[in-house]
Amino acid sequence: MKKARLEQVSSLVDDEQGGSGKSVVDDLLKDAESRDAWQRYHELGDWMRNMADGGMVRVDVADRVSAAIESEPTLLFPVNHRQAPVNRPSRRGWSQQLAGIGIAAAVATVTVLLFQQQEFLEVEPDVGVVAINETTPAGKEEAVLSSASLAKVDSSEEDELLSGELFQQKLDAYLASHVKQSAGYRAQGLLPNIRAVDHGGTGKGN
Amino acid sequence: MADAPNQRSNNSANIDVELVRRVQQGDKGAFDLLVRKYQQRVGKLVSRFIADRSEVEDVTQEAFIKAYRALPNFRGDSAFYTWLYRIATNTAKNYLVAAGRRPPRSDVDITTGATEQGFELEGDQSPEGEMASEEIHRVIRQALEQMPEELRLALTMCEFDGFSYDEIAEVMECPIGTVRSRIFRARQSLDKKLRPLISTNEVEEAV
Repeated sequence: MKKARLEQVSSLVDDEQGGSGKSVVDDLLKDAESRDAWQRYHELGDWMRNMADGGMVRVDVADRVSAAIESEPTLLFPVNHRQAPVNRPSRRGWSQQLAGIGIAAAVATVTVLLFQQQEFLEVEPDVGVVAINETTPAGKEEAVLSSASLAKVDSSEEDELLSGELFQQKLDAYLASHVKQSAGYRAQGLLPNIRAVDHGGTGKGN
Repeated sequence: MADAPNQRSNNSANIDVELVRRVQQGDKGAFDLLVRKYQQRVGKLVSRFIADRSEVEDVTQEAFIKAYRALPNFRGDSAFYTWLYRIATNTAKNYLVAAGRRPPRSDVDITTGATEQGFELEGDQSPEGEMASEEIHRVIRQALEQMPEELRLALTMCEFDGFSYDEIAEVMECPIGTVRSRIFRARQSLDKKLRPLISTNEVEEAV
């Protein structure tokens, strides 16, 4: 049993297992003795091939590298090898799409919320700063202040905010404020690729 | 003699692709297998730049960690080992620059270790390193000499000449299963004699 397993490892060292040797790789990953044989058979070949020049330095960093990458983030991304099988209509595609949609929705939500808060800041700067900078849950006093200041934003002002040059100014102010505040809250990169685009034909932005 | 990759490149492509694919899907154990496979060859390449043995180990380790971090960018346009050797070369050069030492002006051929200017850079020339290398080579020669001819022939055609099992079977006029078995037995025989000299941590722990 053990002999047969090690013979498979020997074949895999030469990539002569047939296919991609997936089942043997599975065994290698599970079995320490097979892994060890894998390393030693490769090393034997290295030493044999280096007999002529004699310039080989024996290193064994496998355990050190393994320990080091243990703390590294696990790699998870789509496989795009030219040599790898192409037809792979799997659940990965769906999960990636869902993840992408989820991230986009989260970013959009945060953007809308921050933008609304920014409007609130523009109307009542002093009160707004208190509300934004308060990282702990707001107390009753802040809640009262917030509702009071929000009430000052009437519907006609909202219409103005959403149209024309005023909108552009508000957006620019929001972006500038966002950059400033995100630095303070270690939230850099939240909206890394936003560009101000002018839809009103004023020639500003883009 | 040329180094391993130019002889093993065709043979190793499939298994490397499979292992890289697994790493890219989050299997860190598969990366460990790549490290175990290539660490001697990367170590040798690094030793062309750096003479000190402990520094060679450090830089080799660093090269593998960099490779792991860079794997998202690996698209399989080139073979994994050429990509890995490029990283190792750059890591060694950067190490020398950071240490205030001058890296070689020309690049090292990743397959032979020779520079473009036609000379080889220094390897581990310490007396201990040379003695260890000589001892290992002596044991390998002795083991090959004592080995039954059919085992020696199968293994040397595989390791020295880079022949596939099919080609060896054709030369030796025997079934491919026999070739597989002969190469394995030859390796086992060599491994047994070399074990005291190149034992791995896992073996030491298991014994």
